[in-house]
Amino acid sequence: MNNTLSEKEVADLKETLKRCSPETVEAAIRFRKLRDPEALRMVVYGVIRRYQPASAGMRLENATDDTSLIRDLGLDSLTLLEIVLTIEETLKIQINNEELREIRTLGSLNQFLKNKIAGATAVPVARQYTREHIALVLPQQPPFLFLDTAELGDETVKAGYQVKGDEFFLAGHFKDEPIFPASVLFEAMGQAACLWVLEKAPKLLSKEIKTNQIFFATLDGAHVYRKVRPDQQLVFEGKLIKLRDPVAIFSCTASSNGDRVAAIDRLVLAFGEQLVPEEPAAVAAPPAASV
Amino acid sequence: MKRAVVTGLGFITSIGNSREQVLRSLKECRTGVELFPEFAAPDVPVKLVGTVKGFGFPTAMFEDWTYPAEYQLSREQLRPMTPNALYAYCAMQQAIREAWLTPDLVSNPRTGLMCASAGSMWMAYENLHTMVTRGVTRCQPMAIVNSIPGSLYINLVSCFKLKGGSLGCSSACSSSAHALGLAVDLIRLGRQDIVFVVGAEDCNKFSILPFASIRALSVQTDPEKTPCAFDVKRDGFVGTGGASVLVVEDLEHARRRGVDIGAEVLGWGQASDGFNVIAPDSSGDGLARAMNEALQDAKLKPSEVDYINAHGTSTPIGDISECHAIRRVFTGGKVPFISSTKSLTGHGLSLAGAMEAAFCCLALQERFTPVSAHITELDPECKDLPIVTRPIPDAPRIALSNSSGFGGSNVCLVFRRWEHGE
Repeated sequence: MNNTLSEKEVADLKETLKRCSPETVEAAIRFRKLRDPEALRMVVYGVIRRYQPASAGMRLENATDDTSLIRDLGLDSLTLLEIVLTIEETLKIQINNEELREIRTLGSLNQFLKNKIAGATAVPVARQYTREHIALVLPQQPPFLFLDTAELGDETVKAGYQVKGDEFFLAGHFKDEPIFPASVLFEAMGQAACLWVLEKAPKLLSKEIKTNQIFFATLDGAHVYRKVRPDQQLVFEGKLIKLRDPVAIFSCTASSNGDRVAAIDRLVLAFGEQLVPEEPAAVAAPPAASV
Repeated sequence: MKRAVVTGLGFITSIGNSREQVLRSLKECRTGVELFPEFAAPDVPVKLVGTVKGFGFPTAMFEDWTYPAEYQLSREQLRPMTPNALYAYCAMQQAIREAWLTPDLVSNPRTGLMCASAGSMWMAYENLHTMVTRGVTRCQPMAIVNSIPGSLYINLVSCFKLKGGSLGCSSACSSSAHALGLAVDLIRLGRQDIVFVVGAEDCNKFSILPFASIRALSVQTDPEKTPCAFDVKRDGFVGTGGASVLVVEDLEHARRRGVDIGAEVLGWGQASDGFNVIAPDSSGDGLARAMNEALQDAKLKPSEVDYINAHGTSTPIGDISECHAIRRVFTGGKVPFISSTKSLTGHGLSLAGAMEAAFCCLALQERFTPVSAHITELDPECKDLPIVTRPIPDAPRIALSNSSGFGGSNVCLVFRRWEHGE
């Protein structure tokens, strides 16, 4: 594709990108002419940089795909709207409300735009959940809810939890040395898997799943690798191995700051009238995940 | 009933951006009016404005705005603002400092805000123009909060983290006088300990020129002659903008804090003409009733009043109506000195009531009677009244401030000098 831009279009682009760097304007012109994906990234970074407050904890240079636009880059929701409006106008696209709600990280923004530009049938980005939203879905509630954020993919779940230090059980686990219990790590991975089942499985199985019907059934190959202390940020990742009514089987890991903390090779959630499926053996055992 | 006193003032006005500057302008009769570059085009029949100095609004984009260096606003604070909210922010800072209000007193459930502005006709125009010409989704995110009359309280509450009651009053040119009246009631009923009273208005062609079509604006070009309330040559008002802030406080609360008291607000009154959407009732009946209400509320006899800061916009009919109203109230014996400070500042519309209330506080505290500027020949219809055409030695003890708005909305506020050692 090699479109030419009229003088007026270039002037409009410069007006839209007023206060952005000249490189950003160049990139925007290149993108509009050539659809160069690298230019797209430069436009996004240039627009964010123009709006990012000086007080933000993280500069864009140090950002990764996981960087949260609001928490890490210090953008409030209104600034995010300003960014979106500027990007919309620059790229000549529309971002609807539904799509906007899912854009939380730099990675999800880039991915979204890439998809959007690629064609009309944009692949939706992973669905994002806040703690409040999670509490509306899960039967587990504070103080026994160990997920602050979650992101659901087609067969994946990724959740985050900040160990606050004031969790009720840390007072006794252990005396004078608060360590996040292994059992709660496994519980948190179970909760993440539970969220996936309640949100995704009903559609896939064409079956209603009630929150009081879902149980932790089996836990195979559970490992803990490191101690977790207050203030650590935990990331739980689950991957669906199999979904067949009435069970869902996941492999899960927990990590903190990139270090592996715990893992479960095979976590089985059962949903139905019975606590444990009568024939769990009927479910094909997956190959043991290497940890 | 509790008593309401004024413990702090703040000014961004055509005659000064601080208490000191305003005081000097009032005492030395320095006008804030000048030829307004925005009105230079030959098809604009109006040339004069009471300009606000030290601020620049070259575009509707807040990042292009300039303001005095002593004020610091973050991008998030400035982003939802109108020009009038920015003026008000600066005036608030002055008032907070003068009243020695600590952050915990500013942001306190017992501290409220009663304010008034007409919103920003300019920003509303820009926002709606964008929406209509470039599409609904191009309308900027702040389009509502930086347009509507509520934008003033919206901005101030969030900037100063105010926690008490907050309200934007809307009664045209009596709006901020109403705000002060309501604040006084809140204090007297014990519902708040402190209330910020804020009047603010944009100062541009969008806030002023629409008045040209009803021929309410002066078409004179010499700021040393116009506006000239009560003069036979007056031909309309001159617009202005800016902001004024009064900190109204419960007397006992102020005493406990040990803060200097500027004046006491003894009472207020309001009444409507029930007459016409624009024209005042030339009999002065509505304003006279407002003044009588105010005096009754203040438990004062008319003869105890020393000075009236008139609404006095310098329109031919408005000034005459006000004179009739004053004659109706002050029937026997002494008639108080009368002046219009709008002849120096221009007419601040929603700002006028609070600005002139603050001027009254200055006059009482600093012991001077403001002059009604630019009078060379009193209108014969005003001649019997003691209009202050040149400096006089008298210092008022009791002052009234009149405000009248479109639709015949009239407010009168009563202030008393606070004596040393009281």
